[in-house]
Amino acid sequence: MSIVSLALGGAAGGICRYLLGLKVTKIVSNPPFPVSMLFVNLLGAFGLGLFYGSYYGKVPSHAYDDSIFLMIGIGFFGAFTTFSTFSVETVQLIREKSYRKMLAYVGISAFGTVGLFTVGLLAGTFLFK
Amino acid sequence: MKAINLISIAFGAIAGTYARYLLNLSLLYTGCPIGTVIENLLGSFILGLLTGFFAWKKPKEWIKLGLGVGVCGGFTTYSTFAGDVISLTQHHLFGGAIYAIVSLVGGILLALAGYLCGEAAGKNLVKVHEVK
Repeated sequence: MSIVSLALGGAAGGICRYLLGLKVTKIVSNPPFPVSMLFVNLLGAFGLGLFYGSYYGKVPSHAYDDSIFLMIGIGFFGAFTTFSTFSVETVQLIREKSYRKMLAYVGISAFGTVGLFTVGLLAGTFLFK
Repeated sequence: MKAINLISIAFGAIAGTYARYLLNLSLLYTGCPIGTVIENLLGSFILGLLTGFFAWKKPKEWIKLGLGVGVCGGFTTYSTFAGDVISLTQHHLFGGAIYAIVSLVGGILLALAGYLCGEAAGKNLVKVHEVK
């Protein structure tokens, strides 16, 4: 059961990331830095916070036997957001010698995801508990 | 939008997600989210490698998407990174900061190392083909 939950969540997360990424790229033409995965990661961090807050009321520490956690937390939001593309896009900015853009991209990604995760967590806890 | 691209991404993401789950599970005993750090660092290196290599040796679109968007994207995660930073900060003031710095600096450096390795391998391969 846990494997099916993971697979469903992971496949849905990956496909949604790809499709949303294409959509953002289409809407935002000529962005200052790679915005599509930034948007996906910010949205995904908020979503995971909201899920944790509404379902657990906190960041769960031992939930690996819970198939809802596996499907939504590890599967969907885990696969929806990506760290590898973030790292490689940062490297592209370094190679283009766009150091200011690189710092902005890394800063907005890191502080933005942590901040939005917290907002999601608080909103979920407040609204559903 | 080709169906084969989406199918390739879906299967890649399942493989990446499952590998991430297994690694997390096997490292649960440590009591700290070291699994996610390893996944994000390793995944950054592999995606760098693929990006560098594919810049010289163009693969079929579905292969590139399956491995990059699917496997590497599914294996690494930014949402759990954010959750871990908050959870660690709650336990220890500097825990979250150390985790974030190791992940960010390590991920970027490993992606760069992977890119350079991949680029070198791709260049070599193209050269070998030209000589033949």
